[in-house]
Amino acid sequence: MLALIGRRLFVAVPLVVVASFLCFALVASSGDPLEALRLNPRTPPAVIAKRSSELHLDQPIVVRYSSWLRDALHGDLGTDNNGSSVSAQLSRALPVTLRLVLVAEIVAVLIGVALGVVSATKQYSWFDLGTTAFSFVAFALPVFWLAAVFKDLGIRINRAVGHRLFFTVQQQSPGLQGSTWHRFADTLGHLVLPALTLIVVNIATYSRFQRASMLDVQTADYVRTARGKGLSEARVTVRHAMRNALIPVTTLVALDFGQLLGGAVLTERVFQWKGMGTLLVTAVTKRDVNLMQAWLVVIAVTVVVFNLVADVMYGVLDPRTRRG
Amino acid sequence: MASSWREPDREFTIAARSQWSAVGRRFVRHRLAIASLVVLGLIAVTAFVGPRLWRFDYATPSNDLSQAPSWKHPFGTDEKGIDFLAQVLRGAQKSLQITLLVAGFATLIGVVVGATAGYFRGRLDAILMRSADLVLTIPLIAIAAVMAYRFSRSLGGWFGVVVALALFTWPGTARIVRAEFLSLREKEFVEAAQASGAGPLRIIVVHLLPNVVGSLAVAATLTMAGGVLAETSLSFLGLGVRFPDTSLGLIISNGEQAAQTRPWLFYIPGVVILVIVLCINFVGDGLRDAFDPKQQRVRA
Amino acid sequence: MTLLQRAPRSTALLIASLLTIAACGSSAKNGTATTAQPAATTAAASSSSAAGPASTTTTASSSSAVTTAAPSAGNSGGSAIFTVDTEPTGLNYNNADDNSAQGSYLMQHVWPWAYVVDPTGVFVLNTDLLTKVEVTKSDPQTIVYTLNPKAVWSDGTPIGIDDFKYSWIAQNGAPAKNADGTDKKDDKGNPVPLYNAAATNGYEDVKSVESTDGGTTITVVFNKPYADWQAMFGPVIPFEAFKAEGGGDEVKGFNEGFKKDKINLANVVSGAAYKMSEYKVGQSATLVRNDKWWGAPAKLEKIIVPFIADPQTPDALANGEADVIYPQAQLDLVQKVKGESNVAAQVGFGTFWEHLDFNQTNPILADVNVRKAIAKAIDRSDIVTKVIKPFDAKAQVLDNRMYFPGSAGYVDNGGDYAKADLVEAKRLLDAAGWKPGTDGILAKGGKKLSLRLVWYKVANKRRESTAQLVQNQLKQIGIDIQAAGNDNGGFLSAGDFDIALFGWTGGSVLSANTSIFADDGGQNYGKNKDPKIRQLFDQANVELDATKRTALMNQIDVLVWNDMAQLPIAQVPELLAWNNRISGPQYDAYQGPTWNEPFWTAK
Repeated sequence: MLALIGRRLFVAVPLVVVASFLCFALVASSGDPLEALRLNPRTPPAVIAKRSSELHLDQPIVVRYSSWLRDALHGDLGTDNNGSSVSAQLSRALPVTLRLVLVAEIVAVLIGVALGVVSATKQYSWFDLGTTAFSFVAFALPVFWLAAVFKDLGIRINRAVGHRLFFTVQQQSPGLQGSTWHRFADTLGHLVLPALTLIVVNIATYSRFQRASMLDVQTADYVRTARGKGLSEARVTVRHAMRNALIPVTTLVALDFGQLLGGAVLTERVFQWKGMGTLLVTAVTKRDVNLMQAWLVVIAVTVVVFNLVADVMYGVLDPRTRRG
Repeated sequence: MASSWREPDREFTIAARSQWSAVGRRFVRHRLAIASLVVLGLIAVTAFVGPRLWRFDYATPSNDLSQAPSWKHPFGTDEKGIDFLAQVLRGAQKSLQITLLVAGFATLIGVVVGATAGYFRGRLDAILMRSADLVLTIPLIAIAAVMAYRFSRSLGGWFGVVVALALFTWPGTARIVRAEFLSLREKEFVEAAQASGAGPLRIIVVHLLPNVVGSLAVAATLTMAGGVLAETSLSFLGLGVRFPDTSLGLIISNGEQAAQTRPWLFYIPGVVILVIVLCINFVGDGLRDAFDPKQQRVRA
Repeated sequence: MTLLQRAPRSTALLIASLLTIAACGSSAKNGTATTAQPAATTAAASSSSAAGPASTTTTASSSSAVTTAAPSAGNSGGSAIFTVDTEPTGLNYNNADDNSAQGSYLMQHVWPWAYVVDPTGVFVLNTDLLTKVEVTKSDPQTIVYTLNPKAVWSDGTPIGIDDFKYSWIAQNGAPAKNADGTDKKDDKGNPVPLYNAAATNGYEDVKSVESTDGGTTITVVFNKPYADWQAMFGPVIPFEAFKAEGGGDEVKGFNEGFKKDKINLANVVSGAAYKMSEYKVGQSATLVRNDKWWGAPAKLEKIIVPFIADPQTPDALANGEADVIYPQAQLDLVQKVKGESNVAAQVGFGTFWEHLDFNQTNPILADVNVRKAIAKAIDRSDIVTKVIKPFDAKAQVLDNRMYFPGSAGYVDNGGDYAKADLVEAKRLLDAAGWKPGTDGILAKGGKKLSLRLVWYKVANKRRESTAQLVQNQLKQIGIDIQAAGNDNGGFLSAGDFDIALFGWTGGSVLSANTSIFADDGGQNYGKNKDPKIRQLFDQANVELDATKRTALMNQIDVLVWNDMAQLPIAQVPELLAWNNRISGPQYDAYQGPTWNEPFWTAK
């Protein structure tokens, strides 16, 4: 097991480093980092000069990258154009987004897998066709539009009922006091609609996938053997078929993570969560080089970490890969 | 349907031709795919030709302010009295334009990369596939957002968005092409071609690529669907297509606040995107079934 | 067999992890009562009109009031949530870098003001700070401020001469000095001010600020008369606290202190009804009653100020996640708010007004006849009808750049431009040598009449709509307009536009208009040259007689009309809304919605 993790890390770390250089190059080439400062008439030339030397703009890109890397490894991700610490902003925003993404992912997997399993066992039934139709529509939905639709529905329902059933603004109520339980409930309440958006969009993938792999597995020899032994259908499905059919979904979950993050960015913007989504939009519209770079690298690291976790889980689920 | 007395002829025709007609026949039998193709075609025609025929212009204000859909204005109007159907058509046109170009470029890049990796294997393959992994590490939205702004300025508005998206959506196609090439490469006809002195380029283009067309078509539809969603998402965030150009994503972002007060401005463009992507997906599904030699009834 | 039965451990683990993840990042400590839920009572929001009484000293604006809220003698206690749409970059809003309206709303009742402007535009003396203020001499202008002996900062130091003097010096624009005593200069040879103040109006004309009458009064003597003196000392900033913020250096404290990332609550001392008890960067600030406050205690015990973007505010209001909101009015936003059943709303036409500036460095626009033609072709009432009337039927075109409809000084100087006149516009252009080309666009000497219209802030839908309408209107006389938004305000001073669409805040400090319209004005982005304007400003800014001053300001306005340097469109509508649980908020175009915050009550 440890060897497996070790081997994966061996690949992952250079991947992250190269990714960070790629990001750096892209961000550096995406325009003049001082543009925002230059166009503001009130910025004194001294400030521009200072920022220019902070960003080492007079030096070749490799030198700039290595000094950035050196600082980053010490935890210093630089300051944005306003002088605020980038790492402080990221460390505030990342947990907010991860919260949403993880909850959505877990629920989507649970429900998606269940749907897939049932669809496979009752192939071509109304249930199956229903979920297939749902999946096709869910694939085609634009995430941001769905988020706004849910928000609209939430508001309309709130109005109709005359009472706030759904939270539609931000990730928590401001100035909230009270017990831990109260705050926790508040956070959960704010999670409902955004998570629902991501769940709907992702259930489709997992259920289709699970259904397909269940169907593959259904015809395998060992399943027929189990049936031949006289085991109940339910036991065959769950104990034998599902365990193996779960394997591809695990990898899919991890591989899909990057795309899920993209969906979270859009959902956050609609519900005005102060997470990575809003931070990205701010960084890009303000052409803030340090913020963009740090954002991209942090996200890349997160994705790689999750891929790693998936690999390990894959190893746990499928003993054959442990030796591989 | 072929009647029996035609069969003897078929035995003497070249394999490729009957494969194509078989593909065509299977596609046609996939009713949903055909229906979607028709719908998609209708939308495309309406989007590109419609504006010339429709009596209202997308930028001419009038005095019918903020009207709900009616016979005169089937999609209603906005607060300036501009006909919303005209705006949606123009947005759809732009979005379709962008996505076609993105799919085209991404497929091109993907084919080149995938073919090279799959044919030459070894070091080259490793480098190319690692770089594909690299590109996939960062969410498309983020990286496209960062680059779109820059390209928009140098290349002019919406075309910049095309380039930004195409540069980061090729890995999917590349992987598919590579996988196909890896297996096809081992076939005898490749060996034969090599023996007869054909260079790699000739082999790839003349012998291998035609066999990959099926998967390529499917991959292209996937890229197209993804392209529509990516472009509208970017434009929604304000990081993609901007005024004076338009896009369905931009129209939705304008209408977002109107969801409770003037719902037609928000819901209609969303449904249009949904229909477009749904149709593209059905067509892709149909293509996949049509090209799948194993012809299983089970649709994955 | 269910999943739960099959793998109880892993399922439990999954669910537990799910819940812990959701719990992560829940907000912080302090355990006091939570905000009450809004009652679902129905009280329709209606707007009836009540024109503000004009005042002789300042400009007033018209607003539609729901109820003119006399401070209610309602219950004490409770809290309210007042949203602000962007987090200020720093609390010291007199600093040029942190100069934001949001900062002033937040700190309004923490750092005291000498005078507060009420909704009718009248300067009201803050008797908790100053028991009396008198202009003892008009030449040189001398003002005596009598301190309220009870006035003390929340850290115990009395409010006095140190704070007034510091407030003056920090904003008088005096240059920084080099080691050898000479003025520090920047690359262009301009002196660099020591303090990075946002505005120096008034303070730069002050000769001295001294403690008199044994410390009970403060005497301010001016070098030259300054008519808007009542706007000064708003706020009075705490000298000792700023010094502490700068680590012993009060200059550093002003220039670099109180930034949002590094708020040190110990230095945010209060001299007013509220003090800041908490600041969560990126999220919200919390104000509680100042226990050292010597005046009538504020009604509400706590005010929470979260940073929520405008478009979200109606939903927040409806959900009870905000009690008082003050968003920039956009069509759907206003309708949403008005459609809610337990909400009261006021749409006011504020001191913020939008206009089109013509860049005269472009040779095409250097010709006054071209500018006049454009101004005549633009149908401003159509724009107002489509873009602003939906908010409030009383919206009207603005025809005066110094005063607003409803105030004493307002004179409609618009004259010939009151209605669009396409025939006259075409005639003017034709006389200037512009003839229609084959595509319908006017051309002269091979050059097309094509202009770039840039509006500030891409996302501003109201301006985008206005730009589209203007584009359309000018097309009818053969002018081609390329319109685009720009998020970087710097395009204005860089002159990167042909026609600029943006807004100014007008109001109580009339002398601030100098930099906009005078030839050498720093904010004269269109580079209009008219020496008479500067002369008139020099006269007006020292004129203490209100009637004479009004006449001078209107003369300037007429000159600008004649030069057609800038075409005013209309005041920007603003929305103040609050849910019925709260009473007291009242729209005040000059001071902002928090002007009477200590009088807000909650049921």
